[in-house]
Amino acid sequence: MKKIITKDDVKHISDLARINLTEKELMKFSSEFVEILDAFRIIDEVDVKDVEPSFHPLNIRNVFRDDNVKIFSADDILSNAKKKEKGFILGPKVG
Amino acid sequence: MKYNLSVKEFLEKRKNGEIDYNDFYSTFLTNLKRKNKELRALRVISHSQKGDLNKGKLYGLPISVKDNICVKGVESCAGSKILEGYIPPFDASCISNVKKNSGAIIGKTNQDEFGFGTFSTNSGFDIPLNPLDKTRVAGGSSGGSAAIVAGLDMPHVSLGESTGGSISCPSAFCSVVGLTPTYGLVSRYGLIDYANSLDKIGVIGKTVYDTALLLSIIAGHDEKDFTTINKKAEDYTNYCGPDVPKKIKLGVPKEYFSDDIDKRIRDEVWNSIHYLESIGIDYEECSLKMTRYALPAYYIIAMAESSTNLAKFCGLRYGLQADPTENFNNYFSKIRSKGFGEEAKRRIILGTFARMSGFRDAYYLRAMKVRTLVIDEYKRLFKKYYALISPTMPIFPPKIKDVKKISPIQCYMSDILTVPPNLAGMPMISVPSSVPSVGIHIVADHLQEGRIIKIAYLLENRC
Repeated sequence: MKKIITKDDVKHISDLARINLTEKELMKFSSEFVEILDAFRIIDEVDVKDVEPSFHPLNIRNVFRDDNVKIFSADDILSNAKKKEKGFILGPKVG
Repeated sequence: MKYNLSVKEFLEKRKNGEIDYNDFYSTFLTNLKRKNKELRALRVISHSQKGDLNKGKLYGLPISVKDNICVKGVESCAGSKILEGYIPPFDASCISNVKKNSGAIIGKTNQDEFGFGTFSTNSGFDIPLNPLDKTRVAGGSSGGSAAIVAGLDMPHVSLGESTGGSISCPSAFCSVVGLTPTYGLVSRYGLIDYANSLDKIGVIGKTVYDTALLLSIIAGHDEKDFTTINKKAEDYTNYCGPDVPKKIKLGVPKEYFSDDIDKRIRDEVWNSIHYLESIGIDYEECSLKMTRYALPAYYIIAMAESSTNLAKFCGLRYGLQADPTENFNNYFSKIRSKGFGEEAKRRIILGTFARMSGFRDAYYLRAMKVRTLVIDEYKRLFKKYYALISPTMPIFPPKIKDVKKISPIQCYMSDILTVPPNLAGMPMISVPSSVPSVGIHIVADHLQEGRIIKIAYLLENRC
Protein backbone atom coordinates (compact mmCIF):
# COMPACT_ATOMS: atom_id res chain seq x y z
CA MET A 1 0.00 0.00 0.00
CA LYS A 2 1.23 3.47 -0.86
CA LYS A 3 2.23 5.48 2.18
CA ILE A 4 -0.02 8.50 2.75
CA ILE A 5 2.93 10.60 3.82
CA THR A 6 6.67 9.98 3.43
CA LYS A 7 9.69 11.23 5.32
CA ASP A 8 10.47 13.59 2.41
CA ASP A 9 6.94 15.01 2.60
CA VAL A 10 7.33 15.69 6.32
CA LYS A 11 10.64 17.44 5.67
CA HIS A 12 9.09 19.55 2.91
CA ILE A 13 6.04 20.52 4.99
CA SER A 14 8.11 21.38 8.05
CA ASP A 15 10.27 23.64 5.88
CA LEU A 16 7.12 25.37 4.61
CA ALA A 17 5.93 25.82 8.20
CA ARG A 18 9.36 27.21 9.20
CA ILE A 19 10.16 24.45 11.63
CA ASN A 20 13.55 22.74 11.62
CA LEU A 21 13.27 19.11 12.65
CA THR A 22 16.17 17.06 13.93
CA GLU A 23 16.75 13.73 12.19
CA LYS A 24 15.28 12.02 15.25
CA GLU A 25 12.13 14.18 15.19
CA LEU A 26 11.79 13.61 11.46
CA MET A 27 11.90 9.84 11.89
CA LYS A 28 9.48 9.88 14.81
CA PHE A 29 6.95 12.22 13.18
CA SER A 30 7.07 10.40 9.82
CA SER A 31 6.04 7.09 11.34
CA GLU A 32 3.46 8.67 13.67
CA PHE A 33 1.88 10.67 10.84
CA VAL A 34 1.28 7.52 8.80
CA GLU A 35 -0.60 6.03 11.74
CA ILE A 36 -2.54 9.25 12.52
CA LEU A 37 -3.55 10.00 8.92
CA ASP A 38 -4.49 6.39 8.38
CA ALA A 39 -6.84 6.54 11.39
CA PHE A 40 -8.28 9.84 10.11
CA ARG A 41 -9.17 8.30 6.76
CA ILE A 42 -12.26 6.65 8.27
CA ILE A 43 -14.05 9.87 7.35
CA ASP A 44 -13.86 8.56 3.77
CA GLU A 45 -16.69 6.20 4.74
CA VAL A 46 -19.08 9.12 5.21
CA ASP A 47 -21.27 10.04 2.28
CA VAL A 48 -20.82 13.81 1.99
CA LYS A 49 -22.45 14.22 -1.42
CA ASP A 50 -24.53 17.42 -1.47
CA VAL A 51 -23.49 18.28 2.09
CA GLU A 52 -22.43 21.87 2.68
CA PRO A 53 -19.31 22.39 4.82
CA SER A 54 -19.78 24.06 8.21
CA PHE A 55 -17.07 26.61 8.76
CA HIS A 56 -18.64 27.41 12.13
CA PRO A 57 -20.95 25.37 14.36
CA LEU A 58 -23.66 28.03 14.22
CA ASN A 59 -24.93 29.89 11.19
CA ILE A 60 -23.20 33.16 11.84
CA ARG A 61 -23.85 36.21 9.72
CA ASN A 62 -21.60 39.07 8.84
CA VAL A 63 -21.99 41.90 11.30
CA PHE A 64 -20.74 45.42 10.90
CA ARG A 65 -19.79 48.03 13.41
CA ASP A 66 -19.26 51.75 12.98
CA ASP A 67 -15.92 52.47 11.38
CA ASN A 68 -14.57 54.45 14.29
CA VAL A 69 -10.82 54.55 14.69
CA LYS A 70 -9.68 53.57 18.16
CA ILE A 71 -6.05 54.38 18.75
CA PHE A 72 -3.95 51.79 20.50
CA SER A 73 -0.88 53.59 21.79
CA ALA A 74 2.28 52.84 19.79
CA ASP A 75 4.21 52.48 23.03
CA ASP A 76 1.81 49.74 24.14
CA ILE A 77 2.03 47.98 20.78
CA LEU A 78 5.83 48.04 20.86
CA SER A 79 6.14 47.28 24.56
CA ASN A 80 6.82 43.57 24.00
CA ALA A 81 9.38 43.92 21.19
CA LYS A 82 12.98 43.76 22.36
CA LYS A 83 14.67 45.27 19.30
CA LYS A 84 13.28 48.65 18.38
CA GLU A 85 14.47 51.73 16.55
CA LYS A 86 12.69 55.08 16.06
CA GLY A 87 9.26 53.63 16.75
CA PHE A 88 9.80 50.59 14.52
CA ILE A 89 10.52 46.94 15.28
CA LEU A 90 13.95 45.89 14.16
CA GLY A 91 13.71 42.68 12.14
CA PRO A 92 16.09 40.28 10.42
CA LYS A 93 17.42 40.94 6.92
CA VAL A 94 15.06 40.24 4.04
CA GLY A 95 16.56 38.20 1.22
CA MET B 1 -10.55 27.70 58.69
CA LYS B 2 -12.09 31.16 58.87
CA TYR B 3 -12.65 31.58 55.14
CA ASN B 4 -13.61 28.05 54.22
CA LEU B 5 -16.75 29.39 52.53
CA SER B 6 -18.64 28.57 49.38
CA VAL B 7 -18.77 31.27 46.69
CA LYS B 8 -22.42 31.86 47.59
CA GLU B 9 -21.61 32.31 51.30
CA PHE B 10 -18.67 34.58 50.47
CA LEU B 11 -20.88 36.85 48.35
CA GLU B 12 -23.56 37.01 51.07
CA LYS B 13 -21.03 37.93 53.73
CA ARG B 14 -19.33 40.50 51.53
CA LYS B 15 -22.70 42.06 50.72
CA ASN B 16 -23.46 42.33 54.42
CA GLY B 17 -20.01 43.76 55.19
CA GLU B 18 -19.06 40.78 57.34
CA ILE B 19 -15.64 40.19 55.73
CA ASP B 20 -12.53 42.33 56.14
CA TYR B 21 -11.34 42.06 52.53
CA ASN B 22 -7.66 42.83 53.17
CA ASP B 23 -7.51 40.11 55.79
CA PHE B 24 -9.36 37.74 53.46
CA TYR B 25 -7.07 38.44 50.51
CA SER B 26 -3.86 37.98 52.48
CA THR B 27 -5.17 34.70 53.93
CA PHE B 28 -6.17 33.68 50.42
CA LEU B 29 -2.71 34.41 49.03
CA THR B 30 -0.98 32.46 51.80
CA ASN B 31 -3.19 29.44 51.16
CA LEU B 32 -2.94 29.76 47.40
CA LYS B 33 0.86 29.83 47.48
CA ARG B 34 1.02 26.83 49.79
CA LYS B 35 -1.38 24.84 47.63
CA ASN B 36 0.39 25.89 44.47
CA LYS B 37 3.71 24.55 45.70
CA GLU B 38 1.97 21.23 46.10
CA LEU B 39 -0.05 21.20 42.84
CA ARG B 40 1.88 23.46 40.42
CA ALA B 41 -1.48 24.70 39.16
CA LEU B 42 -0.64 28.36 38.58
CA ARG B 43 2.25 29.69 36.56
CA VAL B 44 1.84 33.29 37.77
CA ILE B 45 0.26 34.61 40.96
CA SER B 46 -0.92 38.24 41.16
CA HIS B 47 0.00 39.64 44.53
CA SER B 48 -2.08 42.76 44.80
CA GLN B 49 -5.51 43.90 43.76
CA LYS B 50 -6.25 47.39 42.51
CA GLY B 51 -9.51 49.32 42.35
CA ASP B 52 -12.76 49.23 44.26
CA LEU B 53 -13.69 45.62 44.98
CA ASN B 54 -16.82 46.48 46.92
CA LYS B 55 -19.15 46.93 43.98
CA GLY B 56 -20.40 44.79 41.09
CA LYS B 57 -21.63 41.24 41.43
CA LEU B 58 -18.41 39.55 42.54
CA TYR B 59 -17.27 41.66 45.55
CA GLY B 60 -13.61 40.79 45.09
CA LEU B 61 -14.18 37.06 44.48
CA PRO B 62 -10.81 35.53 43.48
CA ILE B 63 -10.75 34.37 39.85
CA SER B 64 -7.86 32.44 38.31
CA VAL B 65 -7.44 32.53 34.55
CA LYS B 66 -6.17 29.96 32.07
CA ASP B 67 -2.85 31.09 30.65
CA ASN B 68 -4.22 31.53 27.12
CA ILE B 69 -6.60 34.36 28.12
CA CYS B 70 -4.93 37.79 28.03
CA VAL B 71 -4.84 39.82 31.23
CA LYS B 72 -3.43 43.33 30.96
CA GLY B 73 -0.02 43.62 32.60
CA VAL B 74 0.16 39.90 33.56
CA GLU B 75 2.43 37.55 31.60
CA SER B 76 0.19 35.41 29.35
CA CYS B 77 1.88 32.57 27.44
CA ALA B 78 -0.83 29.98 26.58
CA GLY B 79 1.51 27.47 28.19
CA SER B 80 4.11 27.96 25.45
CA LYS B 81 7.78 28.90 25.65
CA ILE B 82 7.38 30.82 22.40
CA LEU B 83 5.29 33.40 24.29
CA GLU B 84 7.46 33.53 27.40
CA GLY B 85 7.69 37.10 28.61
CA TYR B 86 4.64 38.33 26.68
CA ILE B 87 2.76 40.94 28.70
CA PRO B 88 -0.54 41.84 27.01
CA PRO B 89 -1.22 45.59 26.88
CA PHE B 90 -4.98 44.87 26.99
CA ASP B 91 -7.59 42.71 28.72
CA ALA B 92 -9.57 39.97 26.99
CA SER B 93 -13.27 40.96 26.90
CA CYS B 94 -14.19 38.28 29.46
CA ILE B 95 -11.54 39.73 31.80
CA SER B 96 -12.95 43.26 31.31
CA ASN B 97 -16.36 41.90 32.30
CA VAL B 98 -14.96 40.17 35.38
CA LYS B 99 -13.13 43.33 36.43
CA LYS B 100 -16.24 45.48 35.84
CA ASN B 101 -17.99 43.22 38.33
CA SER B 102 -15.16 43.43 40.88
CA GLY B 103 -13.69 39.99 40.29
CA ALA B 104 -10.12 39.79 41.61
CA ILE B 105 -7.78 38.20 39.04
CA ILE B 106 -5.36 36.10 41.09
CA GLY B 107 -3.12 34.53 38.43
CA LYS B 108 -2.63 32.39 35.35
CA THR B 109 -3.09 28.62 35.35
CA ASN B 110 -0.89 25.99 33.71
CA GLN B 111 -2.15 24.24 30.60
CA ASP B 112 -1.08 22.18 27.63
CA GLU B 113 0.77 24.41 25.20
CA PHE B 114 -1.93 26.35 23.25
CA GLY B 115 -4.45 23.76 24.50
CA PHE B 116 -2.80 20.88 22.61
CA GLY B 117 -3.44 17.97 24.95
CA THR B 118 -5.67 15.91 27.20
CA PHE B 119 -3.45 15.66 30.29
CA SER B 120 -1.70 19.09 30.64
CA THR B 121 1.57 17.21 30.25
CA ASN B 122 2.30 19.13 27.02
CA SER B 123 2.89 22.29 29.04
CA GLY B 124 5.92 24.42 28.20
CA PHE B 125 6.15 25.14 31.92
CA ASP B 126 4.88 23.09 34.90
CA ILE B 127 2.59 20.06 34.73
CA PRO B 128 -0.28 20.52 37.22
CA LEU B 129 -0.95 17.59 39.56
CA ASN B 130 -4.32 16.07 40.36
CA PRO B 131 -5.27 17.01 43.96
CA LEU B 132 -7.18 13.71 44.34
CA ASP B 133 -3.98 11.72 43.64
CA LYS B 134 -0.84 13.70 43.04
CA THR B 135 0.81 10.93 41.02
CA ARG B 136 -1.91 11.36 38.39
CA VAL B 137 -2.62 14.02 35.76
CA ALA B 138 -5.13 16.80 36.37
CA GLY B 139 -6.46 16.45 32.82
CA GLY B 140 -6.15 18.91 30.00
CA SER B 141 -5.91 21.26 28.65
CA SER B 142 -7.32 23.54 31.40
CA GLY B 143 -5.58 21.33 33.98
CA GLY B 144 -4.21 24.08 36.22
CA SER B 145 -7.65 25.66 36.54
CA ALA B 146 -9.35 22.41 37.58
CA ALA B 147 -6.51 21.45 39.94
CA ILE B 148 -6.59 24.71 41.87
CA VAL B 149 -10.40 24.79 42.03
CA ALA B 150 -10.36 21.27 43.49
CA GLY B 151 -7.36 21.79 45.74
CA LEU B 152 -8.14 25.11 47.38
CA ASP B 153 -10.76 25.22 50.15
CA MET B 154 -11.60 28.88 49.71
CA PRO B 155 -14.10 30.79 47.56
CA HIS B 156 -12.62 30.93 44.06
CA VAL B 157 -13.67 30.26 40.45
CA SER B 158 -11.51 29.75 37.36
CA LEU B 159 -11.86 30.80 33.73
CA GLY B 160 -10.96 27.94 31.39
CA GLU B 161 -11.16 27.36 27.66
CA SER B 162 -12.24 24.40 25.58
CA THR B 163 -11.58 23.54 21.95
CA GLY B 164 -12.35 19.82 22.02
CA GLY B 165 -13.01 19.07 25.70
CA SER B 166 -10.43 21.07 27.61
CA ILE B 167 -12.90 22.19 30.28
CA SER B 168 -14.87 18.96 30.69
CA CYS B 169 -11.86 16.61 30.86
CA PRO B 170 -9.89 18.22 33.72
CA SER B 171 -13.14 18.97 35.58
CA ALA B 172 -14.03 15.27 35.49
CA PHE B 173 -10.53 14.13 36.48
CA CYS B 174 -10.37 16.60 39.42
CA SER B 175 -14.05 16.09 40.44
CA VAL B 176 -15.15 19.69 39.97
CA VAL B 177 -17.77 21.32 37.74
CA GLY B 178 -16.80 22.47 34.24
CA LEU B 179 -19.17 24.47 32.05
CA THR B 180 -18.44 24.94 28.34
CA PRO B 181 -20.94 27.34 26.76
CA THR B 182 -22.35 27.37 23.24
CA TYR B 183 -19.79 28.47 20.65
CA GLY B 184 -20.09 32.25 20.36
CA LEU B 185 -21.88 32.90 23.65
CA VAL B 186 -18.68 34.26 25.25
CA SER B 187 -16.37 36.62 23.39
CA ARG B 188 -13.03 35.20 22.28
CA TYR B 189 -11.46 38.65 22.03
CA GLY B 190 -8.15 38.40 23.89
CA LEU B 191 -8.01 34.61 23.76
CA ILE B 192 -4.75 33.29 22.29
CA ASP B 193 -6.39 31.21 19.54
CA TYR B 194 -6.04 27.49 19.09
CA ALA B 195 -8.79 26.87 16.50
CA ASN B 196 -11.05 29.84 15.87
CA SER B 197 -14.17 27.95 14.86
CA LEU B 198 -13.97 25.69 17.94
CA ASP B 199 -12.56 27.74 20.86
CA LYS B 200 -14.89 28.57 23.74
CA ILE B 201 -14.09 30.34 27.00
CA GLY B 202 -15.93 28.76 29.93
CA VAL B 203 -15.87 28.26 33.68
CA ILE B 204 -14.55 25.73 36.20
CA GLY B 205 -15.89 25.90 39.75
CA LYS B 206 -16.55 23.85 42.85
CA THR B 207 -20.31 23.97 42.35
CA VAL B 208 -22.79 24.32 39.50
CA TYR B 209 -23.89 27.65 41.01
CA ASP B 210 -20.31 29.02 40.80
CA THR B 211 -20.05 28.23 37.09
CA ALA B 212 -23.54 29.64 36.36
CA LEU B 213 -22.64 32.84 38.22
CA LEU B 214 -19.46 33.52 36.27
CA LEU B 215 -21.05 32.55 32.95
CA SER B 216 -23.74 35.21 33.54
CA ILE B 217 -20.94 37.77 33.80
CA ILE B 218 -18.83 36.79 30.78
CA ALA B 219 -21.63 35.88 28.31
CA GLY B 220 -22.91 38.27 25.71
CA HIS B 221 -22.34 40.00 22.40
CA ASP B 222 -19.03 41.75 21.90
CA GLU B 223 -18.36 44.02 18.95
CA LYS B 224 -14.70 42.99 19.12
CA ASP B 225 -15.59 39.37 18.24
CA PHE B 226 -17.90 39.12 15.25
CA THR B 227 -18.65 35.46 15.99
CA THR B 228 -20.39 36.29 19.29
CA ILE B 229 -24.10 35.68 19.35
CA ASN B 230 -26.43 38.62 19.85
CA LYS B 231 -28.39 37.34 22.80
CA LYS B 232 -30.00 39.10 25.74
CA ALA B 233 -28.05 38.78 29.00
CA GLU B 234 -29.35 36.07 31.26
CA ASP B 235 -28.80 35.22 34.95
CA TYR B 236 -27.94 31.54 34.74
CA THR B 237 -28.02 31.09 38.51
CA ASN B 238 -31.83 31.14 38.16
CA TYR B 239 -31.54 27.55 36.91
CA CYS B 240 -29.89 26.46 40.17
CA GLY B 241 -32.96 25.32 42.04
CA PRO B 242 -34.53 22.07 43.28
CA ASP B 243 -37.61 22.14 41.02
CA VAL B 244 -37.72 19.26 38.56
CA PRO B 245 -38.74 20.09 34.98
CA LYS B 246 -41.97 18.29 34.05
CA LYS B 247 -42.43 15.83 31.20
CA ILE B 248 -38.88 15.87 29.95
CA LYS B 249 -36.80 13.07 28.58
CA LEU B 250 -33.03 12.68 28.51
CA GLY B 251 -31.27 10.88 25.69
CA VAL B 252 -28.64 8.27 26.55
CA PRO B 253 -26.43 7.81 23.46
CA LYS B 254 -25.49 4.13 23.28
CA GLU B 255 -22.18 4.84 21.52
CA TYR B 256 -21.09 6.63 24.72
CA PHE B 257 -21.49 3.45 26.77
CA SER B 258 -19.51 1.07 24.57
CA ASP B 259 -17.02 -1.47 25.91
CA ASP B 260 -14.22 1.02 25.24
CA ILE B 261 -15.46 3.04 28.22
CA ASP B 262 -14.21 1.85 31.64
CA LYS B 263 -17.00 -0.23 33.17
CA ARG B 264 -16.77 1.48 36.57
CA ILE B 265 -17.41 4.79 34.80
CA ARG B 266 -20.37 3.43 32.83
CA ASP B 267 -21.92 1.95 35.98
CA GLU B 268 -21.56 5.19 37.88
CA VAL B 269 -23.21 7.22 35.13
CA TRP B 270 -26.09 4.73 35.00
CA ASN B 271 -26.54 5.24 38.76
CA SER B 272 -27.00 8.94 38.10
CA ILE B 273 -29.44 8.30 35.25
CA HIS B 274 -31.47 6.06 37.57
CA TYR B 275 -31.38 8.71 40.28
CA LEU B 276 -32.81 11.26 37.84
CA GLU B 277 -35.45 8.72 36.86
CA SER B 278 -36.40 8.34 40.53
CA ILE B 279 -37.15 12.08 40.77
CA GLY B 280 -39.29 12.01 37.64
CA ILE B 281 -36.89 12.60 34.76
CA ASP B 282 -37.37 9.99 32.09
CA TYR B 283 -34.65 8.67 29.81
CA GLU B 284 -34.42 6.78 26.58
CA GLU B 285 -31.48 5.19 24.80
CA CYS B 286 -30.62 6.84 21.52
CA SER B 287 -27.84 6.76 18.95
CA LEU B 288 -25.18 9.20 17.79
CA LYS B 289 -23.86 7.29 14.81
CA MET B 290 -21.53 10.09 13.74
CA THR B 291 -19.46 9.80 16.95
CA ARG B 292 -16.66 7.79 15.35
CA TYR B 293 -16.35 10.24 12.48
CA ALA B 294 -16.51 13.32 14.70
CA LEU B 295 -13.09 12.62 16.21
CA PRO B 296 -11.01 12.62 13.00
CA ALA B 297 -13.08 15.51 11.59
CA TYR B 298 -12.39 17.48 14.74
CA TYR B 299 -8.65 16.82 14.72
CA ILE B 300 -8.30 17.70 11.05
CA ILE B 301 -10.15 21.01 11.52
CA ALA B 302 -8.39 21.83 14.79
CA MET B 303 -4.93 21.10 13.38
CA ALA B 304 -5.60 23.00 10.14
CA GLU B 305 -6.82 26.07 12.02
CA SER B 306 -4.04 25.91 14.61
CA SER B 307 -1.35 25.67 11.93
CA THR B 308 -2.54 29.01 10.53
CA ASN B 309 -2.91 30.59 13.98
CA LEU B 310 0.58 29.61 15.01
CA ALA B 311 2.09 31.07 11.84
CA LYS B 312 2.23 34.49 13.48
CA PHE B 313 4.72 33.45 16.15
CA CYS B 314 8.07 34.37 14.70
CA GLY B 315 10.07 36.03 17.47
CA LEU B 316 9.76 39.65 16.41
CA ARG B 317 7.00 41.48 18.21
CA TYR B 318 6.54 39.59 21.49
CA GLY B 319 7.52 36.47 23.41
CA LEU B 320 10.69 34.54 22.63
CA GLN B 321 13.16 36.73 20.71
CA ALA B 322 16.82 36.63 19.75
CA ASP B 323 19.32 38.81 17.91
CA PRO B 324 18.02 38.99 14.34
CA THR B 325 21.45 38.64 12.82
CA GLU B 326 20.63 36.19 10.05
CA ASN B 327 18.33 35.93 7.04
CA PHE B 328 14.64 36.21 8.02
CA ASN B 329 13.67 32.67 7.04
CA ASN B 330 16.47 31.18 9.11
CA TYR B 331 15.64 33.46 12.03
CA PHE B 332 11.93 32.52 12.04
CA SER B 333 12.73 28.81 11.73
CA LYS B 334 15.25 29.00 14.56
CA ILE B 335 12.85 30.76 16.95
CA ARG B 336 9.91 28.51 16.06
CA SER B 337 11.93 25.31 16.39
CA LYS B 338 13.15 26.41 19.82
CA GLY B 339 9.89 27.87 21.13
CA PHE B 340 7.30 25.26 20.12
CA GLY B 341 7.01 21.98 22.00
CA GLU B 342 6.68 18.59 20.34
CA GLU B 343 2.88 18.46 20.14
CA ALA B 344 2.71 22.00 18.71
CA LYS B 345 5.18 21.01 15.99
CA ARG B 346 3.20 17.83 15.30
CA ARG B 347 -0.05 19.77 14.86
CA ILE B 348 1.49 22.57 12.80
CA ILE B 349 2.94 20.07 10.32
CA LEU B 350 -0.19 17.88 10.13
CA GLY B 351 -2.42 20.96 9.88
CA THR B 352 -0.29 22.41 7.09
CA PHE B 353 -0.49 19.05 5.29
CA ALA B 354 -4.31 18.94 5.57
CA ARG B 355 -4.56 22.39 3.97
CA MET B 356 -2.14 21.76 1.09
CA SER B 357 -3.41 21.70 -2.46
CA GLY B 358 -4.11 18.13 -3.48
CA PHE B 359 -5.02 17.13 0.08
CA ARG B 360 -7.31 19.99 1.13
CA ASP B 361 -10.47 18.46 -0.36
CA ALA B 362 -9.76 14.99 1.02
CA TYR B 363 -9.07 16.17 4.55
CA TYR B 364 -10.03 19.71 5.48
CA LEU B 365 -13.09 20.22 3.29
CA ARG B 366 -14.37 16.73 3.93
CA ALA B 367 -13.97 17.24 7.68
CA MET B 368 -16.04 20.44 7.42
CA LYS B 369 -18.80 18.48 5.70
CA VAL B 370 -18.68 15.77 8.34
CA ARG B 371 -19.08 18.55 10.91
CA THR B 372 -22.35 19.57 9.20
CA LEU B 373 -23.62 15.99 9.57
CA VAL B 374 -22.55 15.86 13.24
CA ILE B 375 -24.45 19.09 13.96
CA ASP B 376 -27.53 17.82 12.05
CA GLU B 377 -27.54 14.60 14.07
CA TYR B 378 -27.46 16.49 17.38
CA LYS B 379 -30.18 18.87 16.19
CA ARG B 380 -32.45 15.91 15.35
CA LEU B 381 -31.95 14.42 18.82
CA PHE B 382 -32.61 17.71 20.58
CA LYS B 383 -36.04 17.90 18.96
CA LYS B 384 -36.90 14.92 21.11
CA TYR B 385 -34.64 15.18 24.18
CA TYR B 386 -34.18 17.92 26.76
CA ALA B 387 -30.48 17.02 27.00
CA LEU B 388 -28.09 14.10 26.49
CA ILE B 389 -26.31 12.39 29.37
CA SER B 390 -23.14 10.27 29.26
CA PRO B 391 -19.74 9.83 30.91
CA THR B 392 -17.34 12.77 30.42
CA MET B 393 -14.18 10.71 29.97
CA PRO B 394 -13.77 7.05 28.96
CA ILE B 395 -10.84 6.52 31.35
CA PHE B 396 -9.56 7.42 34.81
CA PRO B 397 -6.70 9.95 34.92
CA PRO B 398 -3.46 8.14 34.04
CA LYS B 399 -0.33 8.37 36.15
CA ILE B 400 1.96 11.17 35.01
CA LYS B 401 4.86 8.77 34.54
CA ASP B 402 2.74 6.60 32.23
CA VAL B 403 1.66 9.38 29.87
CA LYS B 404 4.80 9.13 27.72
CA LYS B 405 3.83 5.54 26.91
CA ILE B 406 0.60 6.77 25.30
CA SER B 407 0.96 7.35 21.53
CA PRO B 408 -0.46 10.55 19.98
CA ILE B 409 -3.35 8.68 18.34
CA GLN B 410 -4.24 6.89 21.62
CA CYS B 411 -4.22 10.27 23.33
CA TYR B 412 -6.54 11.78 20.69
CA MET B 413 -8.88 8.79 21.11
CA SER B 414 -9.39 9.59 24.79
CA ASP B 415 -11.28 12.72 23.66
CA ILE B 416 -13.90 10.54 21.94
CA LEU B 417 -16.76 11.60 24.28
CA THR B 418 -15.96 15.32 24.57
CA VAL B 419 -15.03 16.07 20.97
CA PRO B 420 -18.42 15.56 19.23
CA PRO B 421 -20.36 18.20 21.25
CA ASN B 422 -17.39 20.57 20.96
CA LEU B 423 -17.27 20.09 17.20
CA ALA B 424 -20.99 20.89 17.05
CA GLY B 425 -20.61 23.93 19.36
CA MET B 426 -23.16 22.59 21.86
CA PRO B 427 -23.11 23.73 25.51
CA MET B 428 -21.97 21.06 27.97
CA ILE B 429 -21.26 20.61 31.63
CA SER B 430 -19.27 17.99 33.52
CA VAL B 431 -20.52 17.42 37.06
CA PRO B 432 -18.77 15.14 39.57
CA SER B 433 -20.30 11.76 40.41
CA SER B 434 -19.86 9.97 43.72
CA VAL B 435 -16.77 8.16 42.36
CA PRO B 436 -13.61 10.34 42.36
CA SER B 437 -12.44 11.46 38.90
CA VAL B 438 -15.66 10.32 37.21
CA GLY B 439 -17.64 13.12 35.60
CA ILE B 440 -21.17 13.02 34.24
CA HIS B 441 -21.49 14.92 30.99
CA ILE B 442 -24.67 16.75 30.07
CA VAL B 443 -25.04 18.26 26.62
CA ALA B 444 -27.91 20.38 25.29
CA ASP B 445 -28.84 22.21 22.10
CA HIS B 446 -27.22 25.53 21.15
CA LEU B 447 -27.96 28.27 23.70
CA GLN B 448 -29.73 25.90 26.11
CA GLU B 449 -27.23 26.50 28.91
CA GLY B 450 -30.18 26.61 31.32
CA ARG B 451 -30.94 22.96 30.68
CA ILE B 452 -27.45 21.64 31.40
CA ILE B 453 -27.22 23.79 34.52
CA LYS B 454 -30.61 22.51 35.69
CA ILE B 455 -29.76 18.80 35.31
CA ALA B 456 -26.27 19.27 36.76
CA TYR B 457 -27.70 21.10 39.75
CA LEU B 458 -30.17 18.27 40.42
CA LEU B 459 -27.35 15.71 40.26
CA GLU B 460 -25.06 17.77 42.47
CA ASN B 461 -27.75 18.12 45.13
CA ARG B 462 -28.99 14.54 45.02
CA CYS B 463 -30.32 13.25 48.30
